[in-house]
Amino acid sequence: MEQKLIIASRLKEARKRAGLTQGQVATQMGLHRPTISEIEAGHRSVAGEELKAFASMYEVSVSWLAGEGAEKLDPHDDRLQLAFRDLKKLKPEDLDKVLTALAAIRREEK
Amino acid sequence: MIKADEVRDKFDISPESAVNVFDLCGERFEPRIIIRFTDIKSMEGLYLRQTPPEIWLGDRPLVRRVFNCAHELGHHVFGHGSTVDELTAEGESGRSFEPNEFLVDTFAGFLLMPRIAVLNAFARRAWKIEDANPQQFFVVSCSLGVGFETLASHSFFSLGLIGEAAYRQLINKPGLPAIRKVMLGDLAPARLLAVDTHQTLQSIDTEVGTGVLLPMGTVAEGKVLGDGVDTPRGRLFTAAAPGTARVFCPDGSWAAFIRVMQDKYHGLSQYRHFPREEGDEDDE
Repeated sequence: MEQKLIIASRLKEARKRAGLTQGQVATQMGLHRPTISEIEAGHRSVAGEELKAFASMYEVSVSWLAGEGAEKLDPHDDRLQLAFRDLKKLKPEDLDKVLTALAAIRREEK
Repeated sequence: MIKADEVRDKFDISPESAVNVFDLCGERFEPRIIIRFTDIKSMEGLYLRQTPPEIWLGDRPLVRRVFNCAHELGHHVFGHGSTVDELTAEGESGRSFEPNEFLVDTFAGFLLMPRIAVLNAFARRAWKIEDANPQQFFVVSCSLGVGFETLASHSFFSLGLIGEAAYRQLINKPGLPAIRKVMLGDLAPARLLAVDTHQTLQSIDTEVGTGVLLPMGTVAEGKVLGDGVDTPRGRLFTAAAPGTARVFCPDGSWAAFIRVMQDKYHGLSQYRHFPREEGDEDDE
């Protein structure tokens, strides 16, 4: 998929996971709602500063929003300190949701 | 119990007061603990030990999410590793005893319902906990932001404030629908939040669709709460839309904020009360 479309798709996914509507994001960022809609449709590019602002608002990593990394985290990923035993407690569809959401979140180096 | 007291002390939360655990995690801890409400059904909660730390809450009724959040906060406070807490049925037996889980359950109970807060909640209403009726227990559970059965269990098992007979009577009968019916008759909604003038929290959380029973004569600003109906127990509103409503008695005797989140909200804790404008749902 084209980079711009990956970014658009991740922005939309992150917004929905943050519990926000396009209108609420527009209000928070001082933009017009159609602008958010255009960005999420991949019709408008996002500047680096805007991407940082979106990442901060959605509590996700900038690099993930920028299209880096996998869509879904591998349960054996080193960054994941959860025991695989714990994750196996979840139903398959829920495990999928957890691993997908985990791929996006922000982790600061200690 | 000591850790729970330490947390209250550290953040200057009176032992007599209720605490909003979502606000505590998101606004008081440093680094801030990110709270995510999710639609995941086979999980009670999840704690991610990282920087910044995160707590995820499964798809549960609000009062259960409150307790689960306090439980996951316990993992954070005790320095446990990341963990997933799976779905368990209320009163489930036969699970292996896990010391860490017991520890953080105890922490959660004492953080949300310290002995002084429970006694104070009954005393300020001039009720005695040892002979309180189910409706009184229900009102107090609402004031502490916890479930009715959670308060009853904690009062018996952890605090020893009620005897076994009183506990069994609370748990076995008449049940929440009957309690609501006794309080409000045919007007009783399927979900109810009872708020009175003895409330210690200034901002009270609820969800769209919940009936909100407020003191007699209360006025609600805006459209977050629907039109009120007078009942012998107070003025009954329905949480109609996400947002924050200022509610007050016109004589100036009482005021509070009712913060309404979407029913089965999933999203970040800090946005749970964001109002929506007309047409906002189109981009879902």
